Amino acid sequence: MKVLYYPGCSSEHLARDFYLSIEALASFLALELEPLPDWNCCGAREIEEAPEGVGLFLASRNLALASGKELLVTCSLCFHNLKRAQNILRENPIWRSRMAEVLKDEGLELSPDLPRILSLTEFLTRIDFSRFRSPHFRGFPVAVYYGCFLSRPYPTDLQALEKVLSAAGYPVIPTTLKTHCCGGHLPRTDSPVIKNLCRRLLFEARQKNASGLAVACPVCKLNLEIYGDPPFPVRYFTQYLGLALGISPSWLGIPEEE
Amino acid sequence: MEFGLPLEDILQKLAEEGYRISRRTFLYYVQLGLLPKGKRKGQKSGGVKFYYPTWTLERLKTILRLKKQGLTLKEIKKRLPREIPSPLPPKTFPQTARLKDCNVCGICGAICPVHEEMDLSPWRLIQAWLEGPDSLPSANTPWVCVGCYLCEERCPREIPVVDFLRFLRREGLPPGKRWRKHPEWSRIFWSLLEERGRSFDFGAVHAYHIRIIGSGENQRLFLRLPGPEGEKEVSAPSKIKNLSAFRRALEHAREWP
Ligand code: SF4
Ligand code: SF4
Repeated sequence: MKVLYYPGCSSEHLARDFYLSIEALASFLALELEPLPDWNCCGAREIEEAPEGVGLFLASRNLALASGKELLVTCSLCFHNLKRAQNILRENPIWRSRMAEVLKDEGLELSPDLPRILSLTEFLTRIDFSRFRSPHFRGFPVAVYYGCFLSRPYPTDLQALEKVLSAAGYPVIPTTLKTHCCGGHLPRTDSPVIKNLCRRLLFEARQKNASGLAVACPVCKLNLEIYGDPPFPVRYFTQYLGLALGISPSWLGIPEEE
Repeated sequence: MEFGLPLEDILQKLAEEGYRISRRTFLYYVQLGLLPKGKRKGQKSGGVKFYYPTWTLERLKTILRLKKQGLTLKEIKKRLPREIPSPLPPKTFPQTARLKDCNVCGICGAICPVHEEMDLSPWRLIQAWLEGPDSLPSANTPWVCVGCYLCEERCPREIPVVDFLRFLRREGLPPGKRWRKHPEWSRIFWSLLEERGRSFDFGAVHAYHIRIIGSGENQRLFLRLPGPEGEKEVSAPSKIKNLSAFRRALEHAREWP
């Protein structure tokens, strides 16, 4: 069965490693993941500055392209933006008819059957990773971190990371900060606040003897790598899954020297 | 439009921040339409001075920065926000009735991960708004909010805090009380989005320096990431198919209230 997925702009640059590890997992597991044809940017945090219609249009166009299907979303911020728009379209007939009208110009239809939006974390719980684990792989303890947008205000399964990673052979260490905030898009990046938030998250993982932190969001990963000090291994959960399946690190976007 | 600063003050302020620009160049930019026209004001001493809106300063800094990156004045003009801000009457927040349930417990401010960066806690803005839009103080709060929804999750009264802050940021506050964050990145973000239908998540990278040279087909982007890689050239995002329909739709979507 083919599954549509929305890669988002970050897949081309900042989260290239995330994207590579997803593609590697998909080919290893023979999942037919297909990028949503002709997808457009969801507007990231910038839509907060623009009139409501702009963000809704950007999301609606993607929703129209995926009408009636399941749409897998890999980036947490894209997930939030698409989910929020989907809810507004469902609840507000005025916005819905405006979006239907504006999409017509491009020959797109906002069918009543909006796509079912799924986070990558939830999607991967459908797979039993214990069946695919490499016999040579020796799991090491990891902590998991969901960040904000997979937890609030449209909560996903907050045991998903634990489920897949432990099935893959990693002892998962429970933490209390797994749905806390990393500082996200705080505009002042030289701020001590963002540093403290990131340090605190890494501190907990280190304190509890985890050897790494598994994350699911490009912004969280970058923030933790840049502001989290002292440095601590932070990887996308898909990279950890790939390692457990015996996929070579370079295919997973993990630099050689590590 | 408020006319706050005389030309001399603008040049003085820029010089203090290390920018070099002559009076002549300034007036040339005004002539080209890169900067707004000034307003004549007679002085008590008998002379005449030209006054410019306060945002002229920021705009001029953007121009000088882009020039340093090697852009021509024509390219710069394309990249600057077309709209010149003008004061609009405050709009209403559709969920104002729900805000009245706020019991001023202060949890939203206490739980907020970035509250130390905020001039005022969210609840203070809620209370000020309930007193009337004119009581709203100028505060960076709506722009500092990272949208983590921790406040809403913990608020005992189910106050739509995040929607309210979003409203203040978009339209609730008059331009004089607005706080512009990294306008240059916003501009780059939107121009890429309009040119290609795809962009960058610049919000996440504004700390790492992005250099853009040229425009259209000849555009080159350089990203400086922390770590051993240093600065690297990245390809501009690939384009979606029907860009003209996309742009029309985007234009249209901007006009809805
Ligand atoms: S947490 Fe809710 S009720 Fe308490 S001050 Fe904030 S908005 Fe008001
Ligand atoms: S949503 Fe905004 S105001 Fe609320 S806790 Fe998060 S950063 Fe603070």
